[in-house]
Amino acid sequence: MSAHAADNAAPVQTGNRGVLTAHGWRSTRLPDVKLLMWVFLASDCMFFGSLIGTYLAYHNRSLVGPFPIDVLDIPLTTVSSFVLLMSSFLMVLALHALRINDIPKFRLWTAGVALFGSIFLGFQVYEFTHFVHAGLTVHQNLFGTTFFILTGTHGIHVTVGVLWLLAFLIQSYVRPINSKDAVYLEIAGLYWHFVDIVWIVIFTVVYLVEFV
Amino acid sequence: MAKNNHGSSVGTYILIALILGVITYVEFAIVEYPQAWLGTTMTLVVLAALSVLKFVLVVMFFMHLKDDDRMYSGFFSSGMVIALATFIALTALFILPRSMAYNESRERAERLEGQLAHGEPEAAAVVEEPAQAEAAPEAASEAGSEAAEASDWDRALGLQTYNSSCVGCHQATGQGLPGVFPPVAGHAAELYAAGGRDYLVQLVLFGVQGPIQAGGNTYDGAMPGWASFSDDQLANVLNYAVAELSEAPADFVPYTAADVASHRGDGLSPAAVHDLRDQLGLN
Repeated sequence: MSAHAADNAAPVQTGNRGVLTAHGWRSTRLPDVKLLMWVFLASDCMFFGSLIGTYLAYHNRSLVGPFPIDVLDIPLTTVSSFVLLMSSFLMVLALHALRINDIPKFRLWTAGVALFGSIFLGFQVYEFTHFVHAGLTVHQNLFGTTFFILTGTHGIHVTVGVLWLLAFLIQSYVRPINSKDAVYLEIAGLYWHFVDIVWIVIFTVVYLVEFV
Repeated sequence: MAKNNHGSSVGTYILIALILGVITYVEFAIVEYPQAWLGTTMTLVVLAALSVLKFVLVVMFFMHLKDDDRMYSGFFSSGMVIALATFIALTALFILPRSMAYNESRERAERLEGQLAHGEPEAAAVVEEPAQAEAAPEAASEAGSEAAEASDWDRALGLQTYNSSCVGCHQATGQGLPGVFPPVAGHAAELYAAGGRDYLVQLVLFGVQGPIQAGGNTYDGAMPGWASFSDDQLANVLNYAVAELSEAPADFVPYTAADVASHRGDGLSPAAVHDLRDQLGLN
C-alpha cells in the first residue's frame, strides 16, 4: 500500500495539460483510486436506480400472495436500518483515527463497522428465511422476484464491504499501517457509506411506503 | 483541496449520527402510528423528504463531498442524474399508464352509477362498451331485458366492482384474452349450470390456480382471491358475470350478500378451489 501512495507525490511541474509527477502527466491532482471509486459509485447508482425502478414497475402486479403487506416487518427493519446507519458513523471514526495515526482506535472502529455490517446481514438472513417459510420465494410472484433481486444485490454489496474491511484490519497486523494509507481506508469507507445510502432509499421505497 | 482537509471534526460526526438516528425513529413512528391529520399524500411527502435528508447528510458529511474536490461531486452527480432519469422513464412507461387506466374505469363506473340513479339503464349499457361496436347491440338488448325483468340485484354495484378489479384481465365484455385470461362471458353461466353456484363464490373469495379449460382454450395461470371486497360487492359482481356478461341459466337465482358471507370462513387455497372446480366435471 505504501508504495502506491507515491502516486500522490507532489507535482514536479504543472501546466495546461495537467500535472507532471514522477509517473508522468496526469490530468488531475486527485488520487486515482479515490477518483475511480467515485466513478464506480456513479455507475452503481444507475444499477440500483434500475433495480428500484423495476421493483416499483411491478409493484401491485402479483397475482398470488404473499403480498408485501403480509410479510414486511417495519419494527424489525427499522432496527436493522439503524444498525447500518450507525456502522457508517463508526466508519468515519475509523478513518479519523487512522488519519491521526491512532492505530488501536482505527482497529477498534473498523472491527465495529464489520460487526455492525454482519448484524445487518444477520437481520437480512432472518428476514429472507422467514419470507421463504411464509411462501415467498424468488419465483412465487413478481413481488418475490423483484424484492429478492433488489435486497439480495444490496446484501451482496454489504457482504463485500464486510470482507473488505476485515481484510484491511487483518493487513494492519501483518504490515505496519499509518496515516499515509488513509486514502485506501477512505475509499473502502466511500463504498460503505454508499451501501448505506442505497439502503436509506430501499427502506423508504420498499418498506415504509407500503404501509402508508 | 482534499489533501489539506481531513474532514469534519468528531463532534460533527456525532451530531450527524444523532440526527440520522432520530430521523429513522421519526420515520418508524409515522408509519407505525399513522397521523390522520397528515393525510396519505402528506405522509408520503414527509417520508420522501426525510429519506432525501438522510441521503444528503451521509453524502455531505460522512462521504465528505461537502468539502472535497468538485470533480468527485461531478462524477457522482452524473451517475445520480442518469439513475433518476432511468427511474422516471420506468415510472412513465409502467406506472402512470396503469393508474390513468384505473382512474378512467373508476370515472366510467361513477358516471354510470349516476345515470342508473336517474333510471336510464339503456344509456348505461351504451356507456359501458363505447369501443365494442359489434358487441354493443347484443349486450344492450340483453341488458335491457335483464333490467326489465330482474332488478332484484344491484347492477351498478356489480358493474363498478367488475370495472375496478376484473376488467383488467377479463376485459369489458368479459371475453378475456384467449390463451392468457379466461373468459367470464358465457363461462360463468356454464359453471353455474354445472352446479357451481357455491364454487363461483369460493372462486372470487379465494382465487384459483392451475390448468383449466374455458371457451375452447386452455389456461394455466392464477387468479387472486378478492376477499377484501364486501359481501355485497362480490355477490353483485357474480350476478353481473352470470346474468349480464353471460346468458343466465333458467334456474338462476341472484346471489345475495348472505351467500358470500356463508363461504368467507372456508379458508381455501387457490389450489383447493381448483380441486372443487374439477369436481364440477367440466375440466
